[in-house]
Amino acid sequence: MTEVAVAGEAAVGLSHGTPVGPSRRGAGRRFLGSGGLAPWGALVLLALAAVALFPGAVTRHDPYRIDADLRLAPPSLAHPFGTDELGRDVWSRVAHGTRLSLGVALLVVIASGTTGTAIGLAAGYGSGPWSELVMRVADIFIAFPALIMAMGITAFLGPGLGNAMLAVMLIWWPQYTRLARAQVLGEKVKPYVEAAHALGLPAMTILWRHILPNSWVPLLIKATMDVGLALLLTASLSFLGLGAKPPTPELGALVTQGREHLLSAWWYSTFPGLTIFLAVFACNLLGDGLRDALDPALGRE
Amino acid sequence: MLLRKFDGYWGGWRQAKHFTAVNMLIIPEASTQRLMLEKGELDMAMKFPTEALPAFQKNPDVQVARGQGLRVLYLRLQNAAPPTSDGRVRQAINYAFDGASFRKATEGTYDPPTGPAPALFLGDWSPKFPYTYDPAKAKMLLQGAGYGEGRKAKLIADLLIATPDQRKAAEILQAGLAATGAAELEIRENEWPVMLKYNSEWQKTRDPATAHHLFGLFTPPRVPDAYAYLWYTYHSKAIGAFARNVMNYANPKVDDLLDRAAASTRSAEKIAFYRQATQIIVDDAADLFVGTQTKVYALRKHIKGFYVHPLWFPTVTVYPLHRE
Amino acid sequence: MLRFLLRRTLFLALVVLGALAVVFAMAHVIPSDPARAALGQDASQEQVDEYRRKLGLDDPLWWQFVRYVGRLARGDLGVSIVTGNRVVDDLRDAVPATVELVLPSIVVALVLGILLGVASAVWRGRAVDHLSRVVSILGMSLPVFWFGLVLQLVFYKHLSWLPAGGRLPLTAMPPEGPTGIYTVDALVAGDLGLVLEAFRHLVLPVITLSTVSIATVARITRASLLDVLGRDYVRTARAKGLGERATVYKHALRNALIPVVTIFGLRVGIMLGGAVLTETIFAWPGIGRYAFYGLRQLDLPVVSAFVVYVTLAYAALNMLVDASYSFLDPRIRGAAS
Repeated sequence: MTEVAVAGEAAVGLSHGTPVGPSRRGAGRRFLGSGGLAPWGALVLLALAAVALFPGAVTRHDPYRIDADLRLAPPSLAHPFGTDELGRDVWSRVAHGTRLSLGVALLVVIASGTTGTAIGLAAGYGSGPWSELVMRVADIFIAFPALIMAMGITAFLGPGLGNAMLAVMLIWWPQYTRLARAQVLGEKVKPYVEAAHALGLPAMTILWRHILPNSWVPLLIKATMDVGLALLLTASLSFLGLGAKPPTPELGALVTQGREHLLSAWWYSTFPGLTIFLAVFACNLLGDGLRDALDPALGRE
Repeated sequence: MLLRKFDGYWGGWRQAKHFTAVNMLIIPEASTQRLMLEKGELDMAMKFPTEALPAFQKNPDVQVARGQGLRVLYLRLQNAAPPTSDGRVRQAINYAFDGASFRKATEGTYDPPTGPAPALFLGDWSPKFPYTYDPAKAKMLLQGAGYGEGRKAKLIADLLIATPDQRKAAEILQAGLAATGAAELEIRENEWPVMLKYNSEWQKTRDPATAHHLFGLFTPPRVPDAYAYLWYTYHSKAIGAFARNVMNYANPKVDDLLDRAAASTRSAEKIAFYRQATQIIVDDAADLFVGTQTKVYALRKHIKGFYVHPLWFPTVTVYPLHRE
Repeated sequence: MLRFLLRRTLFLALVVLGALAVVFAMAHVIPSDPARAALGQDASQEQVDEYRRKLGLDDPLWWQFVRYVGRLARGDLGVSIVTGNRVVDDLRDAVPATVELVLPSIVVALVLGILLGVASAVWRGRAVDHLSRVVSILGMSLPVFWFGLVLQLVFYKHLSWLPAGGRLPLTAMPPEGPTGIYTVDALVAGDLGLVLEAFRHLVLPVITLSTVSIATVARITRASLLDVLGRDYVRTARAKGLGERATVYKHALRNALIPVVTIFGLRVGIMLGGAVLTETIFAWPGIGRYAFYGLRQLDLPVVSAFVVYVTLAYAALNMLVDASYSFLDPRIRGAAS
């Protein structure tokens, strides 16, 4: 899983003993010129975001409009992605679905990211039994397969995109806790923190004004890639029937509905799935590029 | 599951062409059954996506056998909680349902609705069925019941998971209701035990705030009599006890007629009572009557001697089958 | 050593109990009636109530929990409320199916992933590296369920090379064998045709399951190896005049593999946890699919058994991973003894 990839690589860098500090000078140049495909990732993501924000601008049909005469029509000029079993335009549904899926993914990452980081910062800066407890709990969440836990929670909460989102948020925050704590532990021992502490600055100020600005880079990189992963997890839940309710055109739900008609209407599952793939790929590219740009020591390039 | 020819069968095995063994495969995926039939790996498919029918009809190697259906699909309507406790809302739901669209989407495997029981069991008779697709009328009825743009009737439907026909009906209804601007439908798909448990739990409180309003249900001919369609589904005594009258329909006139029909020993009298009860149920708009499912089988062209059983579906009598 | 094992086992038991307690608590909240599911639509309410009484479903939840744990300690996993089979019997069919799917996926992911990562690190900056990096990111981003469907479309529908699902062709009888793993059992029985069929049915699911892991393993291997290659002791080895090959393979790789093993351990855990998506798409009757249907029908014994299974599998995995550390890094080996 990508999150562990980031943590693992961070650990790899840290164990070296040399201070791993983000050098923002030249970051922009590195991002664009790294020779990788990161800028393309940003572009694709931008395009997807545009579709997500203004689906009406790029589609001609109402995604919920039923027209039984047109059912299961193959891709054509009028319906570039074909139609589904009730004659609804698949491209419109994909466009609106992108908005849903991306929106949910963003919400999940923002909510769990901020919560998890806050807890992790506190757990890392403070010490004592409760911070240990928090870390144990976080470890358990991180160790168990996310999909299985999400399945369990949504099965009990009931179907619905909101419930799926809640479930994913509940599972996700511990990852940020662990990363944030690792960062804090690394910074805590540095002289500038000791100095601030000696000056009598309150813990909150130290965390907020001093530690956080020096630790946010891995968190941001993780968050970028997590948007893709959260999208994937929500889509997987919808695919299993545990997420969006009909007729919500969430991308994963579209793939599973298309599965009934897979062998006769290949477009139905293929295009929504392709969109998911594209979105996750773009997020990963972007995250990779950000890592190279903002913290080259991590990537060892 | 392999069935072999039993040599001592009373009908005898005069024809040399009888099959000697039948291999019955359990294939849960409807689309796989379809593909295997098309490829010739299967001689007969009893469960396939209805969307395959046009392709089957064009396929020179496949024949489609149809028979009058006796399995009725309803979206049952909650009679014990608003908004569906109001007869006008129930009627509006029936008027907001685009049956023609549904029949197209299910490739003609449903006959237009005629009420709760098939005509066959009512002596070849159907009640007066006024409900056509009339969104204007639906809107008017809803407004009469107090629902409009500002205050929409919020409905929740419980459907059985993995039944595409129920979902199609519900989505078509959803679109029809949205078009009136006075009602909204939320669709939930669940496993059967979950659906039932929710219902029986709700019976304890009957709290209108947590009520569900639509319930997807098929009624097959358990016994070849209108009783199978009417008593379990519409008698007030069947509420809660058997898992059929889940939506709490209770009309003393209907109860009385059904009891009298059950007690009667004369066929003509029975049928007369059933007919009266049926008409009341239709007038009450007790449920959204979606239609009667046609029996459809798909087999390879070379299989001869197949006939559609008049009652049971899906079923196949193997004895007369032979390959040409 | 003994104290260590004892502590580990105790911790494990606590985790299992905790997880089960959570499952039981949640079960209290949900609206489902597995007794109704088992008896069917036509059962009267009296019959359902009777069945519930028989199964003890109306007893207070904490008492049901205690009863369950007691039975568990004796090795009795209970009876599936929906199917009526003993859960142990169901697992005996389902677990080997998942193992047959997951084991080859693990091997493929490890071998291909490490190879790709090493090649990428050793020829850093060249075409191989760039290509493999892009491929890795592609692989990591792949939605498993969509990928499986696409593979089905291409290889089953259009090319007709491979089957769409299941472990064997529908007309084949599964082999009688000791392991429940069809390829192995068929081999033991000497039925080569069956071995081939079982193998054919494995191809697409394994590809689907392993692709994402290959990508992750490749990336970690590359990053880790690059890091190790830059370290002092490697420079020393090079300075000593050891050939590049010896340096890379004997010294660097061993140590580089440590983070790989950690992350891989997690991935295997994910795979063992059920590979639910793959099993669903390819109609593979493994434990993931079994647990999923049990979950959907809220069949408590099945869900509980699954939780126990996953926790135990994790523990075994962790111990294996720890054991491998001492093999890979002599410093740790020294400390352990």
